Amino acid sequence: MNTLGNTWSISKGIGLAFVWAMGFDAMAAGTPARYQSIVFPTWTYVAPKPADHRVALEGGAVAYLVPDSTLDLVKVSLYSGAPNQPAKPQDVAALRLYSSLLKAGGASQLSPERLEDSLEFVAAYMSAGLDDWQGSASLDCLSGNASELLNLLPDLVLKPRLDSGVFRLQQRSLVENLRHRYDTPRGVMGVAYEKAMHGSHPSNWLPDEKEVADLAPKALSPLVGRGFPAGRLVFAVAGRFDRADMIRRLNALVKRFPAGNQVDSVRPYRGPYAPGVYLIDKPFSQATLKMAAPGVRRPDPDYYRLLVASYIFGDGGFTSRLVEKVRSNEGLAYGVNSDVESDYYRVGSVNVGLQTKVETGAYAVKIVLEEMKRMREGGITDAELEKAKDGLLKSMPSLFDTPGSTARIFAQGEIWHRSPDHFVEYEKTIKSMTKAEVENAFKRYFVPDSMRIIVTGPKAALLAKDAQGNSLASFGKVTEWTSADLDRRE
Amino acid sequence: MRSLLGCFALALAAMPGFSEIQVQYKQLDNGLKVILYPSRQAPTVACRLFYVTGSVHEAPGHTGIAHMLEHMLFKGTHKVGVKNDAKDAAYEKKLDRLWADLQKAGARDSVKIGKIRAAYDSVLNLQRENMVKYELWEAYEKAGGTELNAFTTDLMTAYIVTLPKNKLELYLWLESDRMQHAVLREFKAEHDVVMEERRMRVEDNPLGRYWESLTGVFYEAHPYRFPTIGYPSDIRHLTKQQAEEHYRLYYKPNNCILVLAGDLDTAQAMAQIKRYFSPIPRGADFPPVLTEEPEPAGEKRLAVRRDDAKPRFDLLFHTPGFPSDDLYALDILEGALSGQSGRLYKKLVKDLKIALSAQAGNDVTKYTSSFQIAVDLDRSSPLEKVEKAVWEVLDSLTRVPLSARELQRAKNQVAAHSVRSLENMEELATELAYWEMRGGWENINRFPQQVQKVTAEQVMDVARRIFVRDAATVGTVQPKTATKGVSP
Repeated sequence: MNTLGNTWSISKGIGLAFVWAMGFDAMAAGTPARYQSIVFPTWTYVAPKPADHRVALEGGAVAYLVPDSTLDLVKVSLYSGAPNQPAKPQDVAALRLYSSLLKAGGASQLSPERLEDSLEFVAAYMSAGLDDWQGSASLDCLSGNASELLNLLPDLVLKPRLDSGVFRLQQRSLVENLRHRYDTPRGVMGVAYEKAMHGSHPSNWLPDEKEVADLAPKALSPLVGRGFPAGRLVFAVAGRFDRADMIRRLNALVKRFPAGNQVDSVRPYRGPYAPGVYLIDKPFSQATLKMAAPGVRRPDPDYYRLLVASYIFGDGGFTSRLVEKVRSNEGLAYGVNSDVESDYYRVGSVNVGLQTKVETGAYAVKIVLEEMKRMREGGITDAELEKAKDGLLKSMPSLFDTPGSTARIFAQGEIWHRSPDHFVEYEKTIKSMTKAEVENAFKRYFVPDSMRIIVTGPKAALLAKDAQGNSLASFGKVTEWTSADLDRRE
Repeated sequence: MRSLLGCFALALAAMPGFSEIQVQYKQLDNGLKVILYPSRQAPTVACRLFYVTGSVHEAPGHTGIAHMLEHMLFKGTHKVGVKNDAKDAAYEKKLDRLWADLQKAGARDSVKIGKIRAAYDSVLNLQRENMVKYELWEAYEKAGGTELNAFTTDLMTAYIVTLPKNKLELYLWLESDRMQHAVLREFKAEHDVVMEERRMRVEDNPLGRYWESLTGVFYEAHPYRFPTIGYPSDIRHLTKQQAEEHYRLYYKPNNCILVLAGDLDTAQAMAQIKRYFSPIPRGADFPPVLTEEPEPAGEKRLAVRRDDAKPRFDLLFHTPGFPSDDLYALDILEGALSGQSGRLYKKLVKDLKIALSAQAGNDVTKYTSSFQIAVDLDRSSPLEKVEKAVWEVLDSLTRVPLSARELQRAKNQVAAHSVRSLENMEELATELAYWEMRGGWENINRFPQQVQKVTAEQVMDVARRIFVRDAATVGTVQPKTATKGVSP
């Protein structure tokens, strides 16, 4: 092995000179000297329209049908658009466990073993869940099995068998997952960010290990049948099927769900903690950071302005300002980006995230804040605006890259009450956006003093001053959160 | 429910045949292999250029060089990413010299090091003023490119993007240029980025070092044992010259597979590909991978104890490299062992209740392949019992043939996969390239068809030869501290 390695090393210099010379000679005849001179075929993309696929079903339910006979497959996704938030912290464990048992614990008279054996034998996949914001289910099967499996969907979500053996297995699995919830930077940051920006709320409460371990199967009974009112159901169906037949089947299916469209009210959010540094002491080799400030709740005209601003600032890959400065010039991080949270249920946030070795954590924050300030004060260039618009608009065809993704995007849009012309409006809005609109939005939301700097890593090293005198403490009051603080549900 | 189960029986009879994939394939005179798969599913084309090189072409001392080079190839070429190429060349030369001076200066002479660093930074700043940073990336983005990225594995390094159908020529221009004229600018900064990537993916991942170490135990000699990202000490010492050498050896049309999948006119695309890539001369032959994995001298074990990782049990076996008839039967074994109706789950999770999940994987690859059993545990799982139960399951496969239903279930899964593999153009393009690298793209059709012919006796025969205790590698992760906390 070593001999082979050394042999390769010997030929370095000579080989390199040769390749450069060959490279210059090899420009293809009949090709433009510059890529900018390529004349591309004219083509205008027109995004598919939800109205072309929307079908109003009985009982207030809706379906988006995207037939495509290319492959012998049918894919169905079901969304209920009905929040199921626990009334008190102690109820979270039951909701989580119940969700994990939908499908896994069998359905109606079908035992988990028979159900799994049947599905796996025909290479079909089904899933179901009930989370804080809505219930969901899905089916992915060969078209010949679609009718029978579709019939099974209501039983899966309304008549779960909650098999006691699977109950105990899921219980152990959830306890094990909870034991390790803060063992990765990602695990810590997910919870810490929710707490810092949205406070304690039923939608981000974690169950307690003991609560899960102490649960008895009967504790799940009150949840059976919840979360899927017929009037809130939205189906996304794609693949090889007959449209009229599918509508008939879905209408029959809807009748098996409870009538109505009433949903639980959602408790208001408390809003974010004060700007400052929130530190979670962990023995990681990197400082994992998220800087966040309140953004918008969609729909809001500022959302698209922020989307463009963030694209330029740190969300547009290598050509964005943060990536160039933090990664490319300074070599501080593998991943650095900004983003604007898209949230239809609550006020989202504007964010910057990165990971860097512990020693450069404070320096990286300093650079990010400096770049934020620079963009706030110096504005953006015409070229940056054009690049962001191109990046956002010309990539639209990839959104709708499969019949399944097209149907799911439209179904989700229905849940979010998006306009039927959502994508037409999106295109129009982005195209007509001005520099001033983008700059103003950036200034109003990406405010250095408003940032909650959430960081996990070894505390002592993070708070120590580096050679240039940077310390996380210089960016605001440092509040230390322990695991118990992260877990607290108020 | 009877009607449902009855219908499942009907569904069995109605299991479909294969979606046989038809592509247009051509090898250019310079050796470049081209695979075109037309599909009108979306008005986009998944564009993927694979260089048949990765960590398998590395050795101790410079592990991670293929991956490092992949990063560097976004820094531009003589035409892209630079305003004045002659000026850039002069800066690069100065930077190389200063870097060499820095290495020679020795750690103790801090004054000298400071001066050289200052000079280095000053030239680097001048070079950066002359650069158009990430111009290639920007060109793709402005054209509506998505899935824009690159990746390195043990066997392949790929440069990928999905473009609107009318922008295909941009890919051919930029990649034919990148194949010939790359300039590895800003090596030092990117070097630090890769170190951060390793910290993120390996050091701060509770199972990161476990997988790295288990791979090193499993492969004693074959270069598959090297982590693709490289060992930390090797990454620290990688040089630009080593990256250039890797580029010179392996980034040649005769070591390359170009796959386009999506909304394309194949005749027109092939003509354009020829125009851009045919003039590039083929490269010299490079040393083949000669090292073969020896027969294990005995069972090997890696026991990791750490509290921050979820407990698990892994059992690995060496299997033949592709092609080998054994691999088809091993695919059936994967199907029979995996899933909730698979033998491992039934025994360990359902019957004995000593595991949370269990599955098998048949990893088919070049040179030498592997078969893996993976069991997820919790703190209460008795490791010895888990291992015993896994062996009981494997031993049963060597004694009793699979039932007709088990055999058919595994075959159905493989057939369905052949249909689903056509859904996603990016994944299909990658799969086609990997089959081509292993010996021919046609195997994407042939492999599942061969699996359909496997008999229960063949499965038993291969299980007897592969599931041998003295040839196994065992990996375990357990908590360091005694069991604490609650149990259901």
